[in-house]
Amino acid sequence: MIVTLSMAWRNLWRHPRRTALTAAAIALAVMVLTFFFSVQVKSYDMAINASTGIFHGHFQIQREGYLDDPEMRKIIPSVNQLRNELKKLPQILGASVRAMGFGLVSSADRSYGAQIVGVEPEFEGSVSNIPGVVIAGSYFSSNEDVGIVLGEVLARNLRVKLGDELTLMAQGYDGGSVALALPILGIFQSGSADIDRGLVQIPLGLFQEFFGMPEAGHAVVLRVLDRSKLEEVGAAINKIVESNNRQLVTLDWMKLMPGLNESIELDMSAGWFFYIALVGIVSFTILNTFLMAVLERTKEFGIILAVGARSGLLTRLVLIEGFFLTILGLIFGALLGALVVGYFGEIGFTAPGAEEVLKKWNLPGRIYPEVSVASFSSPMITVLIASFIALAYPAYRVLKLDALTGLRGGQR
Amino acid sequence: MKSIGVLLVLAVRSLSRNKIRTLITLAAISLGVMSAVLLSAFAKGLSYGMAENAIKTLTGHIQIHAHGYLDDPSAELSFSELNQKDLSALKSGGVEKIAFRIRIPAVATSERESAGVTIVGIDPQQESGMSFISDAVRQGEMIRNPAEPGVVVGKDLLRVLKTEIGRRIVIITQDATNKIVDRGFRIVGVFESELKSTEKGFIFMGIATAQEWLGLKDKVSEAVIRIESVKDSRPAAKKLGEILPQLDVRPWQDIEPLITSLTQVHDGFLVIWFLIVIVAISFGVINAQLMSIFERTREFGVLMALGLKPKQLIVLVGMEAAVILIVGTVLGDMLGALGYAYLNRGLDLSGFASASEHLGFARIVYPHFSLFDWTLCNVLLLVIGILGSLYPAYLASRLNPVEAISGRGKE
Amino acid sequence: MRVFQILLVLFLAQSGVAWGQKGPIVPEVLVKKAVDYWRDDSSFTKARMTIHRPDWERSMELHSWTKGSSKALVRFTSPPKDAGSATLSLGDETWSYSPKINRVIKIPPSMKAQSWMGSDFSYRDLTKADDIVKQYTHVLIKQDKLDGKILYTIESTPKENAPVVWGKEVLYIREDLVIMRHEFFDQSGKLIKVLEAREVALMGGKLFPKIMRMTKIEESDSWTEIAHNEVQFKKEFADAFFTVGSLSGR
Repeated sequence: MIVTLSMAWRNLWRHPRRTALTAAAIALAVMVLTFFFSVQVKSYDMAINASTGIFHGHFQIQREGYLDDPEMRKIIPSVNQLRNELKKLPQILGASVRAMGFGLVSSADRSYGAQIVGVEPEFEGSVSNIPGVVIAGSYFSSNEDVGIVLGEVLARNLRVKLGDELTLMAQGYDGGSVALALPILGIFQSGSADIDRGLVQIPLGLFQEFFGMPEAGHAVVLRVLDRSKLEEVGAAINKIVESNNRQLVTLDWMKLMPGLNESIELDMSAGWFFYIALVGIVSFTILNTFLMAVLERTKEFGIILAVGARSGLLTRLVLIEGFFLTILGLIFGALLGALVVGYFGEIGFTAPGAEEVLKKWNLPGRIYPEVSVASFSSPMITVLIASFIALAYPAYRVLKLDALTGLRGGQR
Repeated sequence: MKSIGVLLVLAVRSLSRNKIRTLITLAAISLGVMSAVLLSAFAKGLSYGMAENAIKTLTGHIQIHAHGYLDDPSAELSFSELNQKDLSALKSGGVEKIAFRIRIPAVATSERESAGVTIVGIDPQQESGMSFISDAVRQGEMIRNPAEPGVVVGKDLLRVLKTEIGRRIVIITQDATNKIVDRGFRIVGVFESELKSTEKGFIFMGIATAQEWLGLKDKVSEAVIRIESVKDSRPAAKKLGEILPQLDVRPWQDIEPLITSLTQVHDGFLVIWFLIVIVAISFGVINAQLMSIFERTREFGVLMALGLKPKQLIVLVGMEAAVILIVGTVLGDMLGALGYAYLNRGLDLSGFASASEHLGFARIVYPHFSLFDWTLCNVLLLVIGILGSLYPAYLASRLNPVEAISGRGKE
Repeated sequence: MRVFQILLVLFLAQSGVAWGQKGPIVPEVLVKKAVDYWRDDSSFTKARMTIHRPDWERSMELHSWTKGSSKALVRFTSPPKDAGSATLSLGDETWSYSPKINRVIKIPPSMKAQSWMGSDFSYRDLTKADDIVKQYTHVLIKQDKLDGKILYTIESTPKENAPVVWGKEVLYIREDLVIMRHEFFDQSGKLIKVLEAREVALMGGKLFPKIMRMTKIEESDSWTEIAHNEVQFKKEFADAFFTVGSLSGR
């Protein structure tokens, strides 16, 4: 066996150019696929981050049953303490408390039903984009501010501008009717029509005071550092939540935004199609090179067979050569792939014109792909399998070879 | 001149004598060309498809409203259906299809819940081929005539309202004089859509029913237009705006700016992916040729020993490459044409979205042929292929014939 | 002749008409009479509204004025938090006044299904009293005796395009026209809420449901109760009284 192995290895290096070409085919395949895969994975990630980053966050802690039936009285008591504890977790980028109610928002000419959200000006920016996308006026600077911010679609529907007064009418914590008149401090454009049309924000302190809520909230919104470790972070969060209050639940973004997964996947489906097409193309290239590498040596094989070796040995030789070549190609390809991904990971990858267009909607314009076990293992395994399948036919041809045919160069 | 002819003959004969090598290289090239051509058609089709898909929900290519409606979509801001003169002017302006609708915000209530919705009053015949709704009804039936009293709601709205098909819901809204009106409507059909927000947001009813209920007589909220090619929407809208100055005519890009932007971005990325594919294909082609040349060092040595000049060797190899490339490209184009005919049935992408068992809808892509793209693919690959073979040919020509034959050369 | 009378009785009995003390009862007529009896031409009421939930309870005192079937004004007088809040209904249109911000807001259609002042009544419920007569078909299904008086059970089914979400409603009307109980069923036949007269007393010159309670069946221990302290009927109110301007007045 050792003999076969070293023969195979030496064979490879006796024909450096052929070896280089074959290995290069595999390496290129790996490089292209890992780059493609890394970009796809990252852009999927970015899409989720962008969507959850607008308002919903990666996780929310809520009272059990609040998500399906949001009643004012389903509060999280001692919510500040919970927020602080969660903030301490290293995987958490930001934590913020919110209180929510549904009511009537009226301007001088119009009224619309909308969600009224009490936010913490100090922390809201760490879980939501909205403070950063104010197009008129400014966001709240402190919990003592007295005013309201709303989306630009709602502002347009209400026919109001900065400084105008809006009236809020809703049901308070104890069931009574509450009403507030507040000046518009800021108008935001989040990029989501639903949010720009459906909600208004006031400082949490103001919300608690006027809705008659004790020091409580309805949700703690969380943003994590690394979305790929969702389950791990979720478990850590759950531990704290359960020790705090058994009536609370931890909801991940998939529960908070159920349609998101579907729509993103559908959008990305074209990318996956290209990926599969690429896999097909590179597999064929590999098959091609293996085939040629073997068939060009028919005379050589003929000699070996004529000297007495059995075709089984020859086949094994070819297979082992192929195996070494594949490994070589995989390693090289992974290195190259890491280089390319790393390069674009630094400078960012984008399509012509895409950046300016996306900036208009406050969406990230460049993709910074990352080298990760996930994004590399899949392409590498695919190429490995493709290589082995590609080896099958040439190996079969060798198996069927006899000395005479070989010596004659393969023709009968 | 004569030597070119001889070289050509040599080239062809050498190719035909080494069938396997030739076939393999040929296969690499033709499959490469086929993939390039098909993928470019696919990418273009995808790009068109994305725009069409977004538009097909309800946007159409061009929309017409009364001035001010877009800022304040109420029954008050409706306009009279266009008269014959205007209609024929529109048709000559490139309008293929036109559908009139009532569209106003309302609240739908059931025994237990209420939800904000948009009422869309339609003429089912006008809508078919115009928007998604004619094929989207999965339970019950689509309304067939504009005076039917029933409504068609989205599947997710049934869940939100905690109601079922066959039950009555009450819809509250404001009529043409801004007075609050309400009426009970029976759910006769349930539609499904790719996005739950579409299912939750729209309730369809017959346009005549809506007009009578809202006191609109024959007025409508919007007219939706389909023209021949979605890409011409903006110039066509401008032209139509001149025919109908009393109304607000907009292309879909103005109505759905976010989708316009996303489509542009998507297109940009498709170009990049496609280039990557071309790189992969080119490599495959060059690889095949390189291999075949390097394997024949001995052969070249013999030829040179027999008197072939180095420059002629390059020409010989170049010609072989050219012949095999041309044949391969032609083959690839033929295969591509076959593949195109097959894909023309539509490629179902929903299989790639893992959560899509719930989607009643397939995201179907039709390939789109563009002469420019096709020419580009062919030329690119041909050029790359020839260039790719010249370098090793040059290397081969530098060999010492004796070393080449004895196999002790650079191989 | 006698045969004819017997046949008439049988026929009328089949069609859901019964013999009352003063002649045959036609369900629609009975319902209309009961509604008219309850609403009267005009009324002034002082009442206490109590909203009860499993974990809390709240009470408010209010004054209400009604004229005809389409005008109504309600003003809260206590507790101080709610004092001065008022709601005006004219036909299908509703306005709300909040003294805290000194503003009148028209309730848009999108909010009509929302709860009024946190109670189990929606803004629509405030204006819908007369629907029951016109928009339904009524059938007498039972006749009992309760406390010495005949109690008619009438099942009312909404007509096809009626703006009513209910599958059916059942009214229990006493022969003296007091509506003792009003049940609301969804379209699959499930009971959703019940409005019952818990105490009937002589008020403003006639027998009137002094205490009325609306109970949500599907939620445990949730109801809204209106206890009338004082009722006056057939008072003269000017139409100008029922205007947006008077919402904030007094």
